[in-house]
Amino acid sequence: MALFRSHVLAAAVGQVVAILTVVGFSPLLKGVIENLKAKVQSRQGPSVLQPYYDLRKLLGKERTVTGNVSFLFRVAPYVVFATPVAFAMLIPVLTAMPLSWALMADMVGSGFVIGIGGFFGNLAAMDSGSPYGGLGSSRSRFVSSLAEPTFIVVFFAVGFISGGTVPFAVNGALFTSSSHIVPSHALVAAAFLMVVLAEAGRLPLDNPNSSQELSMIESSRLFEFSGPDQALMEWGGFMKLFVLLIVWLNVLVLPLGLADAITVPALLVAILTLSAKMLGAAVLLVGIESTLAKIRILRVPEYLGGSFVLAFLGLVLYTVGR
Amino acid sequence: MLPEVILAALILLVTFTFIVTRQLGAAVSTYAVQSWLLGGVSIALFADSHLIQLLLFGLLTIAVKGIAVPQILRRRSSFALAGRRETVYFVRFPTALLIGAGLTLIGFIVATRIPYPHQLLPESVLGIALAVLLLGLFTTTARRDAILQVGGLLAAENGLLLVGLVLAPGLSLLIEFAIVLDVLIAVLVMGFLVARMHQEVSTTDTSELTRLRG
Amino acid sequence: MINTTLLLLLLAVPLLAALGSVAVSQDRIRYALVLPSSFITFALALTLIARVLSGGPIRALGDWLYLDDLNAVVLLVVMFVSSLAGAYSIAYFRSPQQGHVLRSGELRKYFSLFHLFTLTMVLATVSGNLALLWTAVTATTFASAPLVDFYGSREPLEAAWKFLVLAVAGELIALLGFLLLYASGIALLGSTYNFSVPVLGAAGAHLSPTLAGLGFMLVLVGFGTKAGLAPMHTWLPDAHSQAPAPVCAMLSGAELNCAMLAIIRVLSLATPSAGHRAIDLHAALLGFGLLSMIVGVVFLVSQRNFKRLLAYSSVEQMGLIAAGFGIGAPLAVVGALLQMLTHSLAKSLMFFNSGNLLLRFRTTTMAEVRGVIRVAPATAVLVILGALAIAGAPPFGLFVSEFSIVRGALGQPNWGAGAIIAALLLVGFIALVAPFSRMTFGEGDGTAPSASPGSELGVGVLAPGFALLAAVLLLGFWVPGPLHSLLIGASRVVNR
Repeated sequence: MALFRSHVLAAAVGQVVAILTVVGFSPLLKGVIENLKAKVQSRQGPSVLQPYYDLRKLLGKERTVTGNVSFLFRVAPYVVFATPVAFAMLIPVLTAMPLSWALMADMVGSGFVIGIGGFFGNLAAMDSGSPYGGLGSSRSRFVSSLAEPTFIVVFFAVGFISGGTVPFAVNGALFTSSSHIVPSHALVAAAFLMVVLAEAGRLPLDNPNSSQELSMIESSRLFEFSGPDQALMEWGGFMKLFVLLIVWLNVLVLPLGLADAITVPALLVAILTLSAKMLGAAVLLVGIESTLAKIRILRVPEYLGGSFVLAFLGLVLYTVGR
Repeated sequence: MLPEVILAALILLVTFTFIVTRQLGAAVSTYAVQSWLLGGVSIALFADSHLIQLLLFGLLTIAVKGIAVPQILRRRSSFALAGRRETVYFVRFPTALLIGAGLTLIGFIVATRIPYPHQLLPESVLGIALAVLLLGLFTTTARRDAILQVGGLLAAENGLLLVGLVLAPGLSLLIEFAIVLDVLIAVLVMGFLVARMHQEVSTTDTSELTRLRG
Repeated sequence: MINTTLLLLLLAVPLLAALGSVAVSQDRIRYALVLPSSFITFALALTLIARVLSGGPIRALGDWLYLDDLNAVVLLVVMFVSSLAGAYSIAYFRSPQQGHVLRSGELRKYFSLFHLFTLTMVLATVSGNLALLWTAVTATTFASAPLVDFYGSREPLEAAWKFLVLAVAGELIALLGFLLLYASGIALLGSTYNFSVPVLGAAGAHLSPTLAGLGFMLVLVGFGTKAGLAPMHTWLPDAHSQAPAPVCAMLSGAELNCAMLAIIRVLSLATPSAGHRAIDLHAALLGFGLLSMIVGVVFLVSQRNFKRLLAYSSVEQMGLIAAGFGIGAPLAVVGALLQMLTHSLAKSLMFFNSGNLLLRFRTTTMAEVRGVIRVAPATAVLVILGALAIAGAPPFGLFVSEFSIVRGALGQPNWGAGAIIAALLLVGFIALVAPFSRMTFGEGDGTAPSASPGSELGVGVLAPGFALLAAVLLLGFWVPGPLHSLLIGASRVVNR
């Protein structure tokens, strides 16, 4: 605390560092995943920095917007970019204790925040009038609305076990109690990972590398965007995966290595452990995406129903074991 | 105690693969993973209790059930695995999922009702073990494919060995050796019959075998 | 010391015979191995049983092996059936009427598995460690399932698969029961103790009653599957009708009894601690027994295939045996023990008959077999007398044992079970005797392809049947002294 005299200032700095971490490192996660995936397939693969190059290229381009779109289309990229940033304030990215704005919303509220981005993305895609945009939006709604129950049950289960739904309070409470919550915990964590994959448009629901328009979900919503708009939309997508994985890692799976105070060394250590955990998550994602095939759209309810059943089971088992 | 419980919880998670998978090959690799985890539980228990038979049992489990048995199964059913064919249930998928969840719940409830002498592992592991047993038996009855039926039985057997670790960690190694040997023989015989089945009806789908009635 | 040697020899002989059957290249030698092996094993078994009668239970190798009166009864059953099945196998496969053309290597498979099957069943009857008992009973499945698939076509394969999957599932449930039984002794004996019959027997009433009772229930359901108790019996009619006739005799006559032995053994260990709840354990056994009898009798009526008919008769009979033990009255228990023996003898006889009819008529469909008495009188005598014996007509042994069970049941304050059993036996009698008498005496409609008069089967396939018929007839008139004391001793083990 020697560095920052006032608590308020310290908290503000912590918040800013957390946001910068999310904004700055999320393209790196994407790059690492692509690179690892290529390595698994015995290819050289793009550089891990490739997403940064892409973003720079897009940001430098001229913006082109179709004539017959409403303001939604112009606003959407900013909303899609801003919502994960706002979300990052609500969750323990680097610090174990809540920062000044963290108590604005609990897990349900943060879910709404992240949902706004998806909502605007869908509206904009439909607004453009492109058939693929409409297709992507409707499929994306389909997936999200089915993922919703699982999210809610996960929040309930976590809230039930830890006695609160603010991510910072939950964080850790799962790990201090006795061994009988472990089975519930494992089930809930697995269910949450399943819906994270669905929400972030990863395999087995959506292939982010697909080039076939008919099988796309997320990527088909981006067709009509160009230049800086496209950059913001894609960056927003990277951040969404990044923050959802942070929730999974820092709240549900491994809340270790978070900073206890806002000091430079503590924050550095926290960033390093977060990188290590993210690398682990990237390996896990690559493992999942290299072994599982994309499931047919009609089987999406089975997949998300499965995640719901797992989460619900986690909730019920906790009450049985008590 | 926590590492054992976490490993056991992972066993439960992995067992759900038997319920949801549509791929035959997944049954074999899931069984291998499950066996490694079981061996891990036993070895972690050894670290806590220093009962030497637990270490040996863990190693035996990994060697026989984590490596040898999956190998035999893969070789015996290579023809069926080669096609990466999707398999089906006798019941519909959502029903299977719900039944699986219900069975898990039953396993946990039963575990709280059994007044067993507490040894090294807590009650939640007994719940997991019983759930794995029930899920395995359910897979065997609800799946049409012979390979998945074998996988279900083997998974159930792993659940039972976990029950054994909870209820009777002091059971002598000789007995555990006999049980593991039994599994090996079971897999040999079942593998033989699966191969025969493929030779006879060109598939391992047991719904082709329904001539005997009454 | 000598007991240990004898026990080990008892296990070594079938093992050596199995290894020999694998190793030798000529089928002639394989045939020649069977009779000496069964003869020596039988002699060893009788010697051991005599020593049990004179000197009490035999404990060997730290209680891994154990032979008391209860084990001895089932050992006797196993040896009787397997020796005669061995003798019958030789004649059956060599019979000039044999329709199945033996491919190369089939006899190697058959006889090696046959000896292994015998070995596993003998091991089940002499194991003292309960985990060994479980392992041995489980191993009988693995030795016998490939034998069920012996003819290598679609139906036997289906039967073998069903048998294997259901039996293994049952065995897993039984293992859970054994684990609970082990846990029931931990409070008294510590977390590591010798999990054997004498140790648990000595612990007696001090086991944890809930765990021991639960353990018994699971063993009952688990091994009940293997013993053919309804509603877990569904594999039995398939497996017991698709296997070659001598194997059917072993499956019905011996293997079912091994599973029943394990159930009864756990019952005898669990009841002392159960106190007034012991009645529940017996009631469960009685319930499964009665249900099996009902299912068996109902399906007896509707069969068209005589091997399936016999298989359902096994369901009924195993139900009767379970009910006998479940009633728990001393007379009923002795009756159930005797029933194990008499049923095995009669059922083996009937399965040998089914093999003979198959040799002679090339079919197992009842409607196609008519007028056996005119084409093959000796076969017909065996068929009709065997049918009377299995149905429990006097003066055959089954009448005595069934009468004892019913009499024991009627002597209970709750005599309803006895009445139900008596009624079911009566229906079963008609359902069994009627079809076989039609087959023996009925007028042929000419559909049977080879029903020309004067083509009697060889002595080899008939002699084992006559031996069994003589034994089962003898038991109807006179239970020999040593057997009597063995049964009494075994009933004391069950009803401690």
